[in-house]
Amino acid sequence: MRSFMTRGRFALLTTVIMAGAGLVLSPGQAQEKASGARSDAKSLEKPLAAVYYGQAAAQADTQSVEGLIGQGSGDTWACASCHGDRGQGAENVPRLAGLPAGYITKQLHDYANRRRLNDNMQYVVEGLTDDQMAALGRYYAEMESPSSARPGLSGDLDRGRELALQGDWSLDVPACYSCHGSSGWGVGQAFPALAGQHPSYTYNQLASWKSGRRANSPINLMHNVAMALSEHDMRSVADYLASLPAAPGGRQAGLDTPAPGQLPPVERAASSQQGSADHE
Amino acid sequence: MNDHNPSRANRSARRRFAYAGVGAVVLFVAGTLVANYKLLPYLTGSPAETSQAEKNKQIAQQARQKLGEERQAWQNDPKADPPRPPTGPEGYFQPPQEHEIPDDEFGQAIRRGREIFFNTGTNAREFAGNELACANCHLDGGRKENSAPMWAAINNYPAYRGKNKMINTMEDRINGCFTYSMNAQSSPSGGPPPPGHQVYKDLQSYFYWLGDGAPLNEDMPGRGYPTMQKTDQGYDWQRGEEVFVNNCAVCHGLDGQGQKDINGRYIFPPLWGPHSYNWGAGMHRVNTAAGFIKANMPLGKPFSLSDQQAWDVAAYINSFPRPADPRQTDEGISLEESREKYHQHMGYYNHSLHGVTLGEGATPERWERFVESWRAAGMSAMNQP
Repeated sequence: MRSFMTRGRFALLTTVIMAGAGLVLSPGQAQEKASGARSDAKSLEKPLAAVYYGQAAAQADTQSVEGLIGQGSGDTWACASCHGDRGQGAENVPRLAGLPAGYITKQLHDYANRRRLNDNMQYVVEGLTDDQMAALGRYYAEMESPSSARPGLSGDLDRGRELALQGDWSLDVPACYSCHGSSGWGVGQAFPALAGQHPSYTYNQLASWKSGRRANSPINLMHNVAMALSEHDMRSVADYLASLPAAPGGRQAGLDTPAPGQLPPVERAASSQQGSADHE
Repeated sequence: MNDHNPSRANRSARRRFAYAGVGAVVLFVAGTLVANYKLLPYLTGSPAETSQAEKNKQIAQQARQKLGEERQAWQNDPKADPPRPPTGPEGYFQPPQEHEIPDDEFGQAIRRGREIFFNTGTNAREFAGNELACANCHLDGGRKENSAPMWAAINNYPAYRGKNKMINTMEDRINGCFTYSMNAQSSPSGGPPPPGHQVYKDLQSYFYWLGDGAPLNEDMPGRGYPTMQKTDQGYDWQRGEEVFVNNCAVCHGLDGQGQKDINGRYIFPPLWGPHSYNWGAGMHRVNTAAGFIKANMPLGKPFSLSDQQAWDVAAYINSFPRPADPRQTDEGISLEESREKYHQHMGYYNHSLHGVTLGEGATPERWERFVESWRAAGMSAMNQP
C-alpha cells in the first residue's frame, strides 16, 4: 500500500514535471528571467561615461588582453569561447566586433558595478582591471568581421524597417537610425551599432529595458523607447536589424574623440542634478 | 482493496503508472503547443491586445478615410456639412500617410520635396550653408505636432510677418529658412534659392500634400512650438550649462558641434559654431528654442525637462558664437544698430560672453580662435574649481 502510493505520487510528479518542461523548454522562447530585476530604471546614469571610457580605450594596449580573449585566465573562460573568435557572437551572446570601444568598456564597468546584470559577465569581469577593460573595448572595436546574424524571431520586417528608418512618432519612438547612425552602424562612443546584431540578443535587451532589468543607457534613452514598443515591434525591429550588413571595424576605437582634459571631470557631471530622469 | 491480492495490486499499479505516463506525454505536448503558439492568453480569456501602435494607425487611417467620405458627401449635396479636419489619436491634425502619396507627377514632386526636407545638405546643396536639415527642427519630416509641423503652416500663408513687416508667401517663408536657419550666405551659391526655383516648388508640394484637409488660416493645435511661460528665475546660460552636460552632450557633444556617423553624415546636428543656424534664425531666440526643447528634446523624451531647464539650456545653446545675421552684414550696419533694428527679443545678440562679442559672425578663423581660448579655459565653467 505504502509503496503503491509512492509510485502514484511519483507518476503524478513525473506528469507535472514533464508538462512544466514542455512549457519551459519549448524552443523559440528567449525570455530573460525576470528574477533579480532591479527597480532602478530611473537610477542616474553618467551621461558621458562612454565618451570617457572611449578616451581611455584609445590609449589602451590591446596586446595585453589577447590571452584573455583567446585562452582566458585561471578559472575564467576566454571571451572568444562565447563571443566567437571573430567577435561575431551567436544567439543571445552579442556580436562585439565593430562596437564602439567606449560602449564596450562601459558595459564591462557596468557589469562590475552591477549596473548591468548577467551572471556570466559578472563572473568574468570580476578580476579585470580598468586597463584591461579599456583594452578589450579597443580590441573589439577595431575588429572587423562579417555578420553571422539572421532574422529568426518571425518578426515583421516591414514594421522593423519602419521603426529603424522612421520610428513611430505616434508612440514618441524616434527612428533607431536617428541616434544609431544612418546605416545602424553606431555613432560616437555612446551609441552602439545595431546592424548585424543577433536578433535574440537585440530582442532580449529591448525586453530588459522595458522591464527595468537593464537600466544603463545614457539619460535612460533606451528605457523610454522600449517602454513604448510592443512585443511584436521588438521582434520586428530585432529581425530587421539582423538582416543588415555589420559595421566595419576599426573606425570607432575612440581615437577621434577629444583628448582628455577637454571634458569636465566625470564625477562632477555624475553628481550634478539629472533633470530628465527626475521628470519622466 | 479488502481482498488484498498482491499480484492484482501490482498490475493495477503498473496500469496506473502507464496511464500516468501517457498523461504526462499528452500534457507535455499540450504544454509545448500552448507555449509555442502563444495560446495561453486565449486559454485564460485575456487575448493579446492590439498594440498601441496598431490602434494609432487604425485611428489615423479611419480619420483620413472619413475625410474622403465627407468630401464626397459634400460634392453630392452642397447642403451637407463640409468636411472636418481629420484628427489623430491625440486630437492633433492627421496628415496623410506615406503610402498615400499619389503615383503621378505631383507625387514625384512631393517625394522630391520630402527628400529635400530630410537631406537638405544633399538635395538642396547649392543653398545649404551649414550642416542642418529642415527635419532637424521640424521632427518626423514636418509631421510632428509642437515641432512646427508643415501641415499647420502651409494653409496659413500668405501671412503678414512682423519679422520683415510685409505679407509673406510660403515661398518667402521658405526663403527665410534658407537665409537664416540654413545660413545660405555660406552655401555654394552664396544665398537662398532664387525666386520661383524648383526647390520651393518641391518643398511646397510636400507641404501642400501634408496639409491636405487642414483648415485655412486657422491657428491649429500643435502649430509651431509651445509658447513658454516666463519663470520667476528668468533664463540663465550658466545654469543651462549643467542641463546641457547632463541631457544634451551625449548626442550633441560637449562642444555642441554634433556628431557624424562613420558614413560622414551628421546624425546629431551642430547647435552653435560656423556649421549651425545664424544669428537671424528663429531658433536663436531663447524663448523659441526653449519651446522647441521643452516639447521635443531629448529626442524621444518630450516634455521631460522642467520649464526652467528648457529656458536655461536654450540660453546656454544661444550663448555661443554662430554665423552673422546676414541682414547686419548685407546692410553694413553695426551690431548695435542691428540689435536695435532686428533683435528686440530674448537672446544674447551683441552681448559679450565667453570672451567674445556675440553677433559677430563665427567665420572659420574666428571660430578656431574662439575654440582655442575656450579649450584653454577648460571649455566649461563646470571645469573650474
